[in-house]
Amino acid sequence: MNSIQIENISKSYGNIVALKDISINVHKGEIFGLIGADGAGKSTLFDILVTLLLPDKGKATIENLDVVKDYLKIRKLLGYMPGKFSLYQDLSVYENLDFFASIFGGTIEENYDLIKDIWVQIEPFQTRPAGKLSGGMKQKLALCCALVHKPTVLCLDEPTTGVDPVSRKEFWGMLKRLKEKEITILISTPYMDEAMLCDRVALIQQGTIMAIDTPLRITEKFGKKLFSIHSENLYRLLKDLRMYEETHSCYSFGQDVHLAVKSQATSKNDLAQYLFSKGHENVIVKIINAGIEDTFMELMNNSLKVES
Amino acid sequence: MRTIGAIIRKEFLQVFRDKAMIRIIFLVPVIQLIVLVNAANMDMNNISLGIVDRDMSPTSQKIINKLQASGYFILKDFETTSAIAIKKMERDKTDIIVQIPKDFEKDIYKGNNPRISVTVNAINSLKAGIASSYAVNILTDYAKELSANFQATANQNNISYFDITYSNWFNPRLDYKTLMLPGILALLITLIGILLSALNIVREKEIGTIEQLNVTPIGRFQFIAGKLLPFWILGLVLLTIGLLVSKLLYDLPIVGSLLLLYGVVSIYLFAVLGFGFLISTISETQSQAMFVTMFFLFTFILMSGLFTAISNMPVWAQKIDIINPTAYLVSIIRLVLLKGSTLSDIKPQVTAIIIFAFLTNALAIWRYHKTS
Repeated sequence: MNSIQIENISKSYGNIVALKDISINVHKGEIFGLIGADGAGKSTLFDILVTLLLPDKGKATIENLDVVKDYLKIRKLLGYMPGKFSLYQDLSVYENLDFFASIFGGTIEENYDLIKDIWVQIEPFQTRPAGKLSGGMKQKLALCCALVHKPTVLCLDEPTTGVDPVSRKEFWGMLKRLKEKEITILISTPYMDEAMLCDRVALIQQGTIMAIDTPLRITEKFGKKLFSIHSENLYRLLKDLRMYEETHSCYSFGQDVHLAVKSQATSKNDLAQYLFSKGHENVIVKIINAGIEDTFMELMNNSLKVES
Repeated sequence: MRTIGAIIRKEFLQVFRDKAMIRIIFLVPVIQLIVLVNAANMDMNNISLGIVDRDMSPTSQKIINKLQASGYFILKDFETTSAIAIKKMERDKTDIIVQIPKDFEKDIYKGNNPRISVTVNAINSLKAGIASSYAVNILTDYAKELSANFQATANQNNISYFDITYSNWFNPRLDYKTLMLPGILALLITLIGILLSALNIVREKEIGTIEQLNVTPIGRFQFIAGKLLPFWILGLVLLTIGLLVSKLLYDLPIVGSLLLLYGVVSIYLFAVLGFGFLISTISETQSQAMFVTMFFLFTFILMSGLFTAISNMPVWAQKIDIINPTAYLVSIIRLVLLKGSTLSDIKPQVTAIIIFAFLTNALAIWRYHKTS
């Protein structure tokens, strides 16, 4: 069963096309990731889904309710966490939570079991003004406030941007527990490593969807043999590899270079020999499986080539 | 209802948490009542007087004494030729020159209708008008006194034989403070009303909290009611503080019904709060809202009849004042407090305020819908 259905949605701001003919189905109780760079159109899609923006074209439903016609009903069953921290900074942690529980006509106690895991972590700070919390704490509070009315669908727009790695990991732990409670979660993120934590993801680029699938199957779409290469001089390594005739694409990933080659026949030895001839020392070459980021780059390149 | 209650509770929490806000709401009105009422005093008692006495007679001396004894004038210049006196006025030494011609006393005895000329520096027309009327009053009084002394010379036709007496009703001592206080109360209510509501909602836009509110099932009516009611209550508290300060410090006469006054102000507050809310729906930032608010505030206040009587304004300005809610409120507060007017006396003004309240709120709700 589909919790969120998006059919051929388009949206433009003047001449700028933000979304181009987008269709996505999100199943009930899954964590669905929208992966894309800044400006890819993720937030626009969110605004349409949470009934803040009208699409130019197309149709979207949440729990079979139309986002345009049934917006009031949708607002009751939707939990939304905007990309920007949008709680009252001058109110205390407790006052914020109490306020959001009250405007949905409920109380904190009614749905306490849903937020309990998260709430116990911020409870020691409940009298502190929300504006004085750390980034990770703010996210937890925002999540609590989005959950306090027991929504069935949760929309999280870049919840982990600007949050430290430990808090990010904790945050994803919480999402996994929410999933067990049958809550559908739509989450957007610019971090590729977070994509692997989703049940399914959509790769979005310049308002179009490049791929929708489970993270694993998306990486299988890569289809090329991939090497991870380390050398002492990263810059020269990158330059030399771009000159290599078997090179399909190569990008630096931290301290390493990921190199995709044209032919499956290219071996570690071939590469090592080539690099040795170029004068590189202490070269480590490994065959690796493509990650989501490799796939994203590859798909992005393909779509750019098609356009030009 | 619970939703509205939640918003009201939240607003009060925020207002009372913001120390600067508390000061604006409670301290500023008191200070303004103390400072403005005393500063914006239009009673004249230190008009600089120049005298050109070319007669130098006991009569001319008596006139000068009379002017000085009135307490309105301070003798700043004494000349014998008008040219020098005029020069002094040009240099802003004097506000008014009284010229007594040569042979003034002799002419009076002969019955030749001598003329005293009064020249006023009209740079400040308000001051000029008041100064000249004071001077003319004193001189006429003295003329009457003289005519009583010279009953025999009946052919003096420049001296009036009938007596003009007047009294200032509803403000018997023509106390300027009594006139200003109700007006300043009206200003304070307007200022706080428009500013608080305009800035409040724009602030939610600026911080982004409005986005979080918009995805909740709060209805438009609930939102506006929840936003306006706290400031409505604050406005009435402010009126109470203002009335208390006026009574304690200035002994403001309260002739009419306080209940009527509170009733009218309640409606008026809805009007200005709705107006502030309307401003907030068309502004994106607090500074934008501030500028728009200031524009309307100044217009409303300067044209409210507090500083210039509306009947003295040009016709087009009077027409504009038809849509100035503050003008109605200033008039109502004065009528109710000083004159003791009842609801039937102020029906036209109250009707206008009700219409204004209805229009601003309807527009605000409509605009709020369009922007969300």
